[in-house]
Amino acid sequence: MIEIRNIGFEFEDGPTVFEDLSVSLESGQTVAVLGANGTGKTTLLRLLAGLIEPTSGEIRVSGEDDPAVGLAPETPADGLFAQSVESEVAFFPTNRGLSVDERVQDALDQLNIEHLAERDPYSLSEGEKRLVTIAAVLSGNPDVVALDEPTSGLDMSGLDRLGDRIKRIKRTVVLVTHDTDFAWRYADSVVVLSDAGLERQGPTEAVLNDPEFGLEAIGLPTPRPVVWARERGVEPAPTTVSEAVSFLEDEP
Amino acid sequence: MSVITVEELTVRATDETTLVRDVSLSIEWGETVLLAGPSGSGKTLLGTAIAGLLADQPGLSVTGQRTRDGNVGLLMQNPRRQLVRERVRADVAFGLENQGLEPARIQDRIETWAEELSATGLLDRKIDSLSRGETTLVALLGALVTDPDLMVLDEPLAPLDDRNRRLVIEAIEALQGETALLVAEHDATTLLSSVDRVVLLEAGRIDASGPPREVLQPLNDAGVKLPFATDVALAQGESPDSVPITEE
Repeated sequence: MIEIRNIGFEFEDGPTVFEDLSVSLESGQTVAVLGANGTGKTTLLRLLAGLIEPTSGEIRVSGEDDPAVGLAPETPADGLFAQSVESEVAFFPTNRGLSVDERVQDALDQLNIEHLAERDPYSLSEGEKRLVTIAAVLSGNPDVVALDEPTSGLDMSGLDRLGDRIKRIKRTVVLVTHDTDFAWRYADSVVVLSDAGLERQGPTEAVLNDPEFGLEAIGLPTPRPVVWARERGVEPAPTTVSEAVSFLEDEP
Repeated sequence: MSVITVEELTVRATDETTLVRDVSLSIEWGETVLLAGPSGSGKTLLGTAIAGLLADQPGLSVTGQRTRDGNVGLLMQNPRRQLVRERVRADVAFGLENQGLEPARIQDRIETWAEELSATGLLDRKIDSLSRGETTLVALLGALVTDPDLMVLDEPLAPLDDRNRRLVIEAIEALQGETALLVAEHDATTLLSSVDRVVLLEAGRIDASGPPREVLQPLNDAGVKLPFATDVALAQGESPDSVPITEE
């Protein structure tokens, strides 16, 4: 369990991001932190990763003295430094004393980017860079996987591979995003932030498919499958196209 | 005469990997083109080449012809890279100052476009205090004040929340017809129904090109994100001529 207790954070010469935020993140779950631009999602992730310290309050991770947090940054180029993709992905497992070749191969394979192994990371497209920074985190097998806008720039194939990998990972995954479609399909629970702070927290279905909860009012789109299901009176809302097709085929 | 034409454009990396392969493309005056394709298909390279900024990039070898009959503006995928000054108003003025416009006219132009994009409140902010969505709007503003005939927008929507997406989409709609637009996106859900033409790029080549309905199946096959209702109807075997192409 990651306990974020009464944290406040303000930039030295900038705005106050959090005043008194308390959130619990269940271990082993995939948690999507959702919010419009500027609601503090990235700041929360940086606090979790220990890159910045809260101005007040504390963050506790139960069961781990010094948990390893792997963070894939919002701008992929910020996380790249090696001369080849392979070296980039090898850095974290090397530092953690893991079996490097196996971990690198596995991470590249899982995200379907083996063909990029020898390439210079800086020569890649934004979507490819993003997959490399995520692979570089997963290869180190951290206790907490922290992903900042992991779906930005990814095509459907990249999204599916990333989502499938996250589903199978036996780690706490905290992903910060405004992509409610991805959260709807892959997150166990969601934390919704607004300018006012914590807006909602709970299981994905209960929060994102609550007709009383106006996501649009806080700058987030209702997940596309939920819109589709509401317009057709379908219950429960599907998570995939094939679920939607099955529902229509089963209709009398 | 087109606003811009590229012919037989080929881009190679220093390790001889071919990133864009023999692409020829013209954009007509006032036309809105969606440049779709999977990650790494060459959308950014083609958009940057059309904007005339690829030839000088290190690590790339570029061959082919580019002919232009109008001015081109570019919104980069990471728009922070194109903001060079400390404050928004000064940054937006940069392009106009380079054109030698009088200060009073520069300010008029900035105010008019800022109002058009609902970005007046950002003009006196520091660049470093802007959120990602606000940064996109400011970079777009900086390009639009120079009155480009073609605006190239490289994945303008991906990093934006719903509120900022709406602002950018409204800006795109306001420009449509007047200014030619080339919008690179791997996610076609929002713009599919409102563009004149879709060009699908795969592995550096043009794989399909035509009005949205004519290229739905290739887009689907290439993994381009389509409206959920479109995906479901295509998966049910409905004809592309009759499937919905919006979320509703």
